[in-house]
Amino acid sequence: MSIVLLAGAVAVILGLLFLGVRPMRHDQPGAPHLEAIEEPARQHATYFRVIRQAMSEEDLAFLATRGPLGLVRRAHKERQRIALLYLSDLRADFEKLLRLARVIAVLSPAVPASHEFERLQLTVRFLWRYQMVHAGLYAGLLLLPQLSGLSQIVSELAFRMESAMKDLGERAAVAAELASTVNRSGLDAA
Amino acid sequence: MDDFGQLTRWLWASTAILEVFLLSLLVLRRNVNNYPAFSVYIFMTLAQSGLLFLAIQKWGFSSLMSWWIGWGTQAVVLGARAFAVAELCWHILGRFRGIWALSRRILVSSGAVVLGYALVTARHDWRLVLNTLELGLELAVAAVIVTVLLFARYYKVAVKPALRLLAIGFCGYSCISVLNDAILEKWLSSYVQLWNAFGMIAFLACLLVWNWAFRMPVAQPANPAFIDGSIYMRLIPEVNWRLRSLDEQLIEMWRLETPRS
Repeated sequence: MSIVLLAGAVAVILGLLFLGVRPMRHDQPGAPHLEAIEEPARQHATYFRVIRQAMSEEDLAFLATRGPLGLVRRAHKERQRIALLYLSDLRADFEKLLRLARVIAVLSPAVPASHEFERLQLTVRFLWRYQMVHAGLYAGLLLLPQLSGLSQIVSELAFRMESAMKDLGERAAVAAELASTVNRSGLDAA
Repeated sequence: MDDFGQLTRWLWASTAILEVFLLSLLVLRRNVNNYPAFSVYIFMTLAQSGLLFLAIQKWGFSSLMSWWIGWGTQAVVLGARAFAVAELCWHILGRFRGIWALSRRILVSSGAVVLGYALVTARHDWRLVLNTLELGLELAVAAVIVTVLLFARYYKVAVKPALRLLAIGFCGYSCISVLNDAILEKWLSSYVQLWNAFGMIAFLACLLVWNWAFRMPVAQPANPAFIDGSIYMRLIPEVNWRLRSLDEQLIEMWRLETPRS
């Protein structure tokens, strides 16, 4: 292997090492726990109907016919700004759901590789496309109302997760109780 | 002792002192029970230093006997190093049975691929066969450490500061060794003394980092309370399906919603 290639590999490894050892934003000692994700991911997604109502095409058309050009431009800019804010909030919801999936994976005794790789692949793809849509919105190429499908999927998933979480919390409490009982008995639970 | 330069002699002594200090810390702070492979590795490096010192004193730096002892002990140290790295990976992810089983396979595969690639693409010079093997192993060690850290990051598993420092030490030393070995391969004759000095300085820096990491007892985190396996099988396929739908939705948005000209 040439020195240049090796130096490149070492530079990549050191870069990834830097990424890997950086403390996480919400670094918590110990294992991930279910309490960390108690908040269901549905706040932003469920606001979509209100946002869409406030930003209807009809309103803008009405404004265009009656209002001065400056006002129309300002309204358009505001709409664009709100759309961008909404999209980033939607991504936050999406990430919350991903976090929940990760915690489930971490606390599961067996994790099939196929599901994990599939989610990783989907996440990478989603984030890439999100960036594209974000750029499209920023450049004024995309329209807000078409975000509704995206919103619907996130809120549906959030709803199902919420009910599953209730079940999950009960099971986790039972597991914790069992573990502490075993520890109290002086047995090695691991 | 005439074969040693002043700098090498100084580095040798400093390394040995730090190794003894680190071993003492591991024993006194009761970390040796939790980090047996790492403790053995540090002991091996200390033993290697002592053996090499005696061999060079008796037979000289350039003698065949010193060469054999040097590379023989290096093979043992590399083996111990591999176990210490495996132990580090286990400390980072081993508590989480499910993802540990998954990551173990990925770590072994990534290490094997990197080692294989390094060996296949190396210069096939019989004088450098051990050097090449070392280069491949160090590259594999660096790749494995980076992979385990990224794995932990992906699953939001918090890595203790002591483990982070251990990882930085192992990975940093491996990277320097790789560059060092690569340069040695190319400019064999004129680089040997410098190669030794660089390697020792890098290892000295690692020892400083590791001493700092083990200055206090490193507590073992409690095992997590696992959930029923059926929960994963019930929820995760659903999550993945939704994510896929979400992804498809984004594609549709991009295709359909650009203004028609």
